[in-house]
Amino acid sequence: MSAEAAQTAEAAETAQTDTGWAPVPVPAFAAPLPALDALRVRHSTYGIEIHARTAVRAGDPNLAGHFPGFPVFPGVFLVECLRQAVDAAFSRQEGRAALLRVVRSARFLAPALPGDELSLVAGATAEAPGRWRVAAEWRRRDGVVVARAVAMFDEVVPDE
Amino acid sequence: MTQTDPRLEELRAIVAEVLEVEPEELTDTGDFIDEYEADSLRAIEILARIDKVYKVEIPQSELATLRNLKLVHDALVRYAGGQG
Amino acid sequence: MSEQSWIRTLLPQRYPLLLVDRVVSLVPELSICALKAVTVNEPCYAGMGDGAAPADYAYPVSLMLESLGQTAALLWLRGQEPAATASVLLFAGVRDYRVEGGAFPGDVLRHHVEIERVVAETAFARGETWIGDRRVAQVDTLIAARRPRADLAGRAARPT
Repeated sequence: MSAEAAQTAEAAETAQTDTGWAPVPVPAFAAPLPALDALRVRHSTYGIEIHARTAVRAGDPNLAGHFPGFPVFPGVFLVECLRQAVDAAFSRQEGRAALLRVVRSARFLAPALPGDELSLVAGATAEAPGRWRVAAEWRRRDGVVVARAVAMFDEVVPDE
Repeated sequence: MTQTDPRLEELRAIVAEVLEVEPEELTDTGDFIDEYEADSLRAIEILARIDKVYKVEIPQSELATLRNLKLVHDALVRYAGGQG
Repeated sequence: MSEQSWIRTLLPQRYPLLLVDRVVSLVPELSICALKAVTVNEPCYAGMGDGAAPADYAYPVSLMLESLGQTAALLWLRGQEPAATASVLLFAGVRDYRVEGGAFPGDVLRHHVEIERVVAETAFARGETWIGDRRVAQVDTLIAARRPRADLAGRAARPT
């Protein structure tokens, strides 16, 4: 396991606030799909730990084209899940938002197919004021890691 | 010989990044597959990274031999053009 | 060679995830330039309410990345056998994808991609995305792989 995962686990031990699992509203911004079924956010002195769940649905119209007769959840949709999860986690505080700026690395390791349920665990730590480094891992229900990624997000605070 | 090749430490950082481990965790002879849970794509990525960073083209036929850091370094030296 | 019909002989993606409109130029095994027009009639805008903020109309980063990746795939697959039914094209990974600007309805994304290395059915490419004279994204490494369809289907015991 990565040092980051261990750190995230440690952060969970000392969590100061925990939203518990809650449904996620459909995004207000342009998105290829409402990617998240549920979200849980924990804030701690180490940063923010974000958990999300998403199901790969046979009826998702995107899969009709990816690929015809052979539906596979697109790898970039995992990035979309992360973007929506991080944005939703930040939005819970006074209308803030988070913008995806850099995908440092993303590796798509195993396919996600219709019927799969994916869980996302992401640890966000502040690298600079307003700039967050997010390390994420997606797993299928059978425990197989579907993808890992490290990305940078900018936090957007609404104008007063 | 090549024991003091400064590229070895640079290579350690490159390979560690591909294997998603810390450079300190990557030993010279630790097997990528057995000890670092690498899949076949990792060896392919290491080869492509060496091509990009050093402009050294290690042929595809060497893929199976890239099992640990020392062997990757050996391959780099071997294909770097006449030296080593 | 610029027509959709040609693009469709090489790319397996279809609506709504076929994200290359036209190939402008292509140097075999070396470089490609391709276009993708962003329009407000795309599915990613379908769910948006009239009250959405201007920034909410930004074309999703996940789809910008997919479009760039499909451009790279076109370059790689050109000259090879037409979309072999026995294999599936996978986005294996990305390193350092940096978003420098937003794309909005009416913009035309212009992707420039160079192939750096092809090893064992795996392609490595670098690229940039421009809108007019403004660069909006660049990537150090895109990794695409072609794998036997049976490898994926076998897991889910799904007929193809």
